[in-house]
Amino acid sequence: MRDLTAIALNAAKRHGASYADIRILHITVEDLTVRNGELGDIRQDESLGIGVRVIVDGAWGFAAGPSLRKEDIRKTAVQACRIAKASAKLKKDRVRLSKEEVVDTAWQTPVVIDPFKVPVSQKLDLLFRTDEILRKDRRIKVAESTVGCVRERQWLATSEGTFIDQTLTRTGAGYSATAVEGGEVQKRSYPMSFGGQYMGMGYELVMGLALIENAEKTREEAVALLTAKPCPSGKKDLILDGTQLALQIHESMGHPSELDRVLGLEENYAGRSFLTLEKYKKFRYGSDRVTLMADSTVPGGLSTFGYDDDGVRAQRWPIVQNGIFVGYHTNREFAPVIGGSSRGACRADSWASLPMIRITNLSLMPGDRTPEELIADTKDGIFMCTNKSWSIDQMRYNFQFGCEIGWEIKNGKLGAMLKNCTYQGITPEFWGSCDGVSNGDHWTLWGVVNCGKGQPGQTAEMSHGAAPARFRKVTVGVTA
Amino acid sequence: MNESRFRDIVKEVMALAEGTAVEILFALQREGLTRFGNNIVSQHIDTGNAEAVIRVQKGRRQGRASCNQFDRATLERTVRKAVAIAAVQAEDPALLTFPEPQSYQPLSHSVPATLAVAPDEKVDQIRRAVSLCRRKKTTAAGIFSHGMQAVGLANSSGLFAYNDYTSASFSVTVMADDSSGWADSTQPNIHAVHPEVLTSVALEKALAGRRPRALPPGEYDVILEPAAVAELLLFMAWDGFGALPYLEGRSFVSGRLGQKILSEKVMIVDDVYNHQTLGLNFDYEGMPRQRVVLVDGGVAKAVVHDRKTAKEAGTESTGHALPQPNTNGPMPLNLMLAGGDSSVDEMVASTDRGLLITHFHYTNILEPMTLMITGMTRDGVFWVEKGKVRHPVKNFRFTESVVKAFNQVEALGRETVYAHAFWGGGIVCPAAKIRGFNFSSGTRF
Repeated sequence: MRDLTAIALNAAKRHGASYADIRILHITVEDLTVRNGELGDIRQDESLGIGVRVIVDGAWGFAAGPSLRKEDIRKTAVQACRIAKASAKLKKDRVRLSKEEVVDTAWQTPVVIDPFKVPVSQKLDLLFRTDEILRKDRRIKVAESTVGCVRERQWLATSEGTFIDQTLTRTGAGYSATAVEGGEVQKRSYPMSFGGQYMGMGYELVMGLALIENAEKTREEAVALLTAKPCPSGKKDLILDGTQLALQIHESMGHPSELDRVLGLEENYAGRSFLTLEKYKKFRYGSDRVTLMADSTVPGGLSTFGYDDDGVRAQRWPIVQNGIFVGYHTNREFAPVIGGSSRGACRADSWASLPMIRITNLSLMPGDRTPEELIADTKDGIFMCTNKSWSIDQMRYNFQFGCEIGWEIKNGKLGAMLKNCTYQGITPEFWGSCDGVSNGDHWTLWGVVNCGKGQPGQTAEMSHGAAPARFRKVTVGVTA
Repeated sequence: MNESRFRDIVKEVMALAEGTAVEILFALQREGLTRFGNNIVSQHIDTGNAEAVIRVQKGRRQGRASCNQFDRATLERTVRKAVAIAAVQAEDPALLTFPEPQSYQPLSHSVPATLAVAPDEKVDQIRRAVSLCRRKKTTAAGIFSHGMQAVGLANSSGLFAYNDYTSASFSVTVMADDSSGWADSTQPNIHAVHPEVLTSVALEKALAGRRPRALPPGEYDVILEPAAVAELLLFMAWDGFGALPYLEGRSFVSGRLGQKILSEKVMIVDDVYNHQTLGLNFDYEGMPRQRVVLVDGGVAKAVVHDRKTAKEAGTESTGHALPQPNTNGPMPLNLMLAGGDSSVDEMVASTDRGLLITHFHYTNILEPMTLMITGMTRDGVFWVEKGKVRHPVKNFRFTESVVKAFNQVEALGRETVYAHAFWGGGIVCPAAKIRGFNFSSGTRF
């Protein structure tokens, strides 16, 4: 592969590139879904191609294609240079990359059981057994169970001399049951929504998820929700489970801390961020109990890697420290804006996509309570679990989330099951109301596999660690 | 890559399948996209790919695998993977064999000139557009893209289909200190997309939106520009008008075909043959895509089908299958809300107290049977009183039932456009005036 990367780098240099990189990427995907006793989806996909990124005349150009023929690699690099020259006609300052270590190395996700070597028949057997349990009640109209894995082998070479051979593996599984009766539709998922729990590891994850063991409970909760009390409206103390907190962290802290978004470059799609530069290291984002760490080194994270697509080493750094906003997600292009080197948060979702700043594994650090203690000293509250819907404004202030299930908390005790649970808030007020986080025994790294960003849209994966936490006087039960 | 190359691949795969029933779905795409922000080009790409998805059937078992390299060894490996996955399954009595050859209504949303535009021509147009913003001390962010998509589908029963379309899009958000404006356009012909005109619209809106005032949440009459209307319609397409949720009793249409479910002013059609939309004349099973009237005079008339749901419902496919197999069932991809007899200006003139809304942001579904959704207003909300636009308003979150909203339609614009919702999905629709639309909270800007 070194020879092929050299073709692109040399061609780019000959056509005026002051910087160039090439990623050759081979992606292998296997996804199996059983739906209502039938194969709902089968994917065994392979995609191979190159993406060449250059700076010419101080501006970026990027071209990509599926051919690894030498002549096509050269043409792709030349096209990237042609595009960069066009970009340079409308620039302000020259692109200047942060200075980073040059490396020649390899890295791969630690995997105990290679998910691609587990027979398809074994996976299907697991899915059909789960499906059978989920559908044992006539009110379950949709049962969907999924096992999936992805492997990305990437060779990254830069004109600065970096060469990285990196293999990332992600695996996961999960299911949902949708109950329908009398015009009511209710869904429960396990272990979380959006297809289940995914991590940067091998099939050992699936074997430890206790899928079969939890199917009956999932089915029964979906059916029970049909006749559950609706979520009350008003201000309540709110305890969120880790799976819901994962998306809360993602939307209200992950995206706002992407520096390109802060600088206005995502405005036309998902918007900007309220965490503007003057707030850096000064702004109170949450209560003292709120510490959020970005970490692309944590074992098992979906955004755990050796190096990002800028060739920058994986790191761990604080985004919020005891409630104060102290860090951004950065790449080589924008790190100089706040000074220092890149945090290594630059990723693309395929060879055909341009690397850009993405959220890494971002986690709420554990506190010193237990979920039981949080419930016990809550007088009038709701415990909500598992994300069902999400929406946040274009500055990341006003959010509204829906959860699959909730329970009343009255005088320190869990009470009736609640359906159609929603809560709404303004980000810094909400995190400012956090007065208790459960300890490390209850902390789990949850995977998000559907993070959209950019134009054209890219989908990234990352994990968010969280333990159940409590928020005081939150607006719940939002209705029309 | 083109139709001829696809035919070669089909022949090769058929030979490799050695008599096994096989289907080849071929997807080809090219895109050049220039992204700009803060009045400069920020990203600029040129990409392309071709993919073949090979589906085999052995009796009542199926397998599927895909690749984007078309040398013999890769095709052979891909066929082998599909066959291997079929071999380990139990028989599926519901599995349908591949369809026989079909005939298709001619359709071309393809304009070759769209692909002939050089990168620096787009940058020149963006430069002229953003100079309008510089002069007014505002900044622009957006995209200017052009490209094509082609889809081919062939199977061992002799079916062959191939169709393509081009598209060009310009989308721009203009930001002033405390306001923003937005406009966009997507056309098959890049020369029908006018960046300077669109930027002027967004700029005017951003300037008019300065110093917005906060209003309390609650119910307001609203005048929704087409992109805001598209946002509501998208959830009807995703969660209501497909036969799978309908048959499973989880669609707002379930059990209500033939009943009046929306305002009598509402006619919704799925029609790829409408000149304002983009798409293909066949679906992902190779069935001819049909025009389907979904709602007429507010009465639910139909849902769209693929072959599997059609068999279950005792009817025929309407040509709305997604790639097989899938968990979503058939879906309308070319939704159209018929225009009425009004205009935005006339709607404003007829409004005593209400809000004029540019579009919505990050909308999501809360409850499928009423299509209760929530999202934010964006890039221009204006207070209308006694028939005139009075002042800009800070953004709101809405929480509202789409079914209720389309029961409270007071007027529809006579002009329809191809509009995008936040999540995508081009929908042909007019502006609409809706009574009593619920805003559940406000935000800080």
